[in-house]
Amino acid sequence: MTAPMIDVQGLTIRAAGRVLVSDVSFSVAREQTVAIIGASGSGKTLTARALLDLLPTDLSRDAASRIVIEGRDLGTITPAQRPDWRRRTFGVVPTAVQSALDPVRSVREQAQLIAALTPERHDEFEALLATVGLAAPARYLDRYPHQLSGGEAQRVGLALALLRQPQVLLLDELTTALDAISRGALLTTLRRVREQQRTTMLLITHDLDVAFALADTVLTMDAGRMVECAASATLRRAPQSAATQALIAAWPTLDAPAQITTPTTGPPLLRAEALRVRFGAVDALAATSFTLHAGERTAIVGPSGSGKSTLLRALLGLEPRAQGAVWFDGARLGAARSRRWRQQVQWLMQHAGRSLDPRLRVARSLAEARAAHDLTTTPEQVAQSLAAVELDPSIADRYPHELSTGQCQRVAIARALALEPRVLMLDEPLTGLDPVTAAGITRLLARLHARTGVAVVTVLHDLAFAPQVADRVLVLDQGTLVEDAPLATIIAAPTHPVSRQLYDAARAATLSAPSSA
Amino acid sequence: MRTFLLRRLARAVVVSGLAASATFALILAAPGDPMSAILDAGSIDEATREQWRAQWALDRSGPVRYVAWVSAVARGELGPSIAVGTPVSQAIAAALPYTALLMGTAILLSLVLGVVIAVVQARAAGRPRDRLLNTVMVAAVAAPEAGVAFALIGLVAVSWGVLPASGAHQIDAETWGWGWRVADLLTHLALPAATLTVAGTAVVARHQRAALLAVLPEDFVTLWRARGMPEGALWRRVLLRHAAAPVITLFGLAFPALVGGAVIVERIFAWPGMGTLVATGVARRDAPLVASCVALTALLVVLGSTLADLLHRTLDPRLRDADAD
Amino acid sequence: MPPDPATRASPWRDRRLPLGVATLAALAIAGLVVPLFYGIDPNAMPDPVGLAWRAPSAAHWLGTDALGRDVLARLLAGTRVSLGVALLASAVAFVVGTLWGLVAGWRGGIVDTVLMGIVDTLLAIPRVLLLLIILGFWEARSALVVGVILGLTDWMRTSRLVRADVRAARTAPWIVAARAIGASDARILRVHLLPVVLRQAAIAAALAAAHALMLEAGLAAIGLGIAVPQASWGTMLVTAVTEVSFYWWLFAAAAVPLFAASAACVAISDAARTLLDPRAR
Repeated sequence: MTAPMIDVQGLTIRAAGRVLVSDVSFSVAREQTVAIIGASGSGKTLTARALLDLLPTDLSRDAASRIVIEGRDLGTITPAQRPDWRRRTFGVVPTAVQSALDPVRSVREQAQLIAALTPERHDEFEALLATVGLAAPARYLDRYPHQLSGGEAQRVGLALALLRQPQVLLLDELTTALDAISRGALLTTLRRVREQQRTTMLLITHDLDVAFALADTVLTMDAGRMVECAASATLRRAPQSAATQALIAAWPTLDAPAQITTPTTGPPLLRAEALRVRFGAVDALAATSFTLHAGERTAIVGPSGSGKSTLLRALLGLEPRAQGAVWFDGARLGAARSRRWRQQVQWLMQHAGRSLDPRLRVARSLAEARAAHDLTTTPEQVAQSLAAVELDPSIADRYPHELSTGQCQRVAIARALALEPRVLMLDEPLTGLDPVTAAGITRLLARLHARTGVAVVTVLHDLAFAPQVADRVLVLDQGTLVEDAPLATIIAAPTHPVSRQLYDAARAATLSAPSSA
Repeated sequence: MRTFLLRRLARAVVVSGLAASATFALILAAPGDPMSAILDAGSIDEATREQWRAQWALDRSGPVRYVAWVSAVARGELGPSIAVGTPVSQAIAAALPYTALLMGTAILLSLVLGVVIAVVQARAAGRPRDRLLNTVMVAAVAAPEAGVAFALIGLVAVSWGVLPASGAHQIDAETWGWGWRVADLLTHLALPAATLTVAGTAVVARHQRAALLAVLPEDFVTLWRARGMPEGALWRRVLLRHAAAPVITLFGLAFPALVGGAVIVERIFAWPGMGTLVATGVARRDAPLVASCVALTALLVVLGSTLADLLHRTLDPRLRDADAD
Repeated sequence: MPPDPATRASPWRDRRLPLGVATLAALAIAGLVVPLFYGIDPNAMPDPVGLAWRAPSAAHWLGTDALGRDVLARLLAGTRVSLGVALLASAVAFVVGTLWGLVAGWRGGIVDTVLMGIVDTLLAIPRVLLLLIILGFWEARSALVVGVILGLTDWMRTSRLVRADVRAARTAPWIVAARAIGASDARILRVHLLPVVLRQAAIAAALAAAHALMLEAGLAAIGLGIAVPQASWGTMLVTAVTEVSFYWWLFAAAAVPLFAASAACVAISDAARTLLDPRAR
């Protein structure tokens, strides 16, 4: 039995008295793939950084922890030797890779700098770009990170990590912010890469489909502890720990829950006709028409760049270049929406945490929304608002940067609902959230809809979540509305090729699909 | 790019013209009679004075003199300086090299020292060395120019007699050999340059330290470390490049001082540069002289900020796609 | 993981703030209260020639100056004057700069272009030069005049900083969200922008005070300071060094409080920078 590539014993990480990671032990054999899954904040990224010996300066590893990589104990590597050791051993693709790539260097320059660090061996970078699935790789060489899309940035990051043929490939949330189609493609790429390069892979993810599809062994972390470790198939079939069970239960399937059919007869609440947005010579949104009835739940799906957010913003009157007509409650809306209208139609932007003023506490932000419509707010009302979104009243006193992403989402929802709107428009509320948090949000939205009857329009990056939030689906592709059908139709018999593509990707990402070795 | 440069050029001309005109008007509006100043300056003979009086309408009203000056500028001249007695262009040509030397030395030293101190502080962030240097830098930035100047004069020049306290040359330096004259100039340069460098270094160091500390926790820095970049290379190739913004901005802001000079320091040390020249011009109500100096300085203000913007764009590609101006 | 609210640092933990405020307070109190007990008149010249340039002694604790006047008395009088000038300059720069930058940044368009054009033109003239020209209007310069003029030549920087903050805030996601919720422009200005603006202006105002203190001395050095025989730190400083003599007691008496006050203002400005941003705590 050869020595494992990575062997971790009793890893404990502390910060100013708090224990962030507690007694984690695992090992990764050569050429094996191990996935660490868990909710946000469970300590996965910290564990990975500990392997690199790159913990943030205010955190420290316990002396009793032992990390042995390729036979070398981390404790024996002096600070002077560390850069060299990292160079030779690891290839890293961190979370949010787009902001982790050096923003002032072009792709080519970054590759050259990395190659310069290890002069003795580097692959042809352009060939690598092709391997990771970028068509016409030469095009990307002179681009800067801010000129790449999310998917392209992930692939470039992967290519840069593979440049030095590392022993261990460390991938942190590689697929999280991607839509299902891109995710599937990246998965295929990773399999191919693994075959060709025979690297050991450590995957950190909360995308269960990726974990089960790629990994030989899966570890679950929860609140800093390792709660389960088993072979991938075993874990999926028979999860032992509550945390793993919660993750699997939260993972979206395409089975629709009990449908709440809302009457679609009668006058529409919101009607758009020939809504169009042009940026220069390009139609970000081609002439689109559709209607929304009171209490209806609609999802808008489509590949990246298909105009989903643009459609939402045009409906909300936030897109100055929009043309066409919008009616609300039978009355035609002017370009500048009235204050009353703004109260009745609420919007949650992408990354809802950013919509909260960082200088205001939560209670103040909630009160502000109501004050904008000349409504006063008592502390009891604040507590009630927070309770309605299942948040503890002590949250009222916090600043936005002291909240987790999921908590920020809920605060934003609370603020929107505080005005008792008739329509709620959500722009990708689930993107980037771990499955448990995402499931919590969708359940919350379902409960709120049942209680208040508010119409909900949700832009989704993945069709898989549609059954939980909608009865009807609008499919967009490159700015055009290609299909507008009830949820059941989209799932059972999608007519448009793009709808079918979305459905296939979502199906492949469910855990019921057999994993391919 | 071309439209950007053209717009900046247009702005330079407009700003320069407006600033110079405003200055002209202010000087003329101030109480005090330029004629009495001329009567003091015995170096100009009566014939020349009569000629200038006629040519430059010195006993006429303000707007007439303004027009006379503007038409002169259009012709390419800057007029005579009633304060100094020579044409303005000649006066400026004589004073400019001294100011360029003094300010150039001070700016260069400040930039270099400031960056070095900032790097030392950033590498030791939060630790005693950083805190100590922080206090020193606060002291240096809070020290009044005049105070530092007088302290240096009092201690180094008067009490210890090591370095000279005024002027740019010894009186009899013209008879010396070339090497000695340079050495003499440098000894005279020392104290005024030191005075300016104290404050300059502190300003650079404080801004640069803040920029470095802002960049250090960024994701891409961690990623470079994860890729195995040694610390030295990290600082040289990554951190300084990302944190170059303050140095570039400060350089752009200091650029016009190469011509405008530092009036207070030059006057205290009797350094024969643009600052002294302009102060004399103001005291003697010499509108053409002061306005010309201001025009020149204003041109360099816009030039300096344009240079800085260009450098910023070169270093940060994200700014290139954004709208110019 | 988001930070624990229990670990929020108190604003007073940053030692620079209390130290700076305490220093300024101490100087102000000394200038206002001590003269009530210390009887010597700062302008009295009982023996201009005989008592000139005396080093500190029992009769004159901080010595005498060129005209035999008691340095300590002049120092106390000068404290009131110099601090007053700095406060005035800082207030003028704060008010004018904030309003100017706010209007320019919020309105944008032609208003912004014109307002910032004026700022750019004024900034193109070196500040000391502007001071030289404007102060030349007065034969006898009182502390009031010097203070106001110092302020009127310093507001441009503040306005630029405020304008930049306002412009950045206009596109901030929480402002976009506030508009989408239906908040009026006035409300957004008041609730979301004003704290940002005031922060920037406060930092700049503290620095403006420091600069005013330093420039007051500088102006005195070139003969444009507060008119004699009024005592101020600046005027005292420049008489302490001549071609042949260095009157260290006079120099120290003026330089130490001047330096301390200036450093205190800088420290307050630094502390304000981190203080008013909740994320930095």
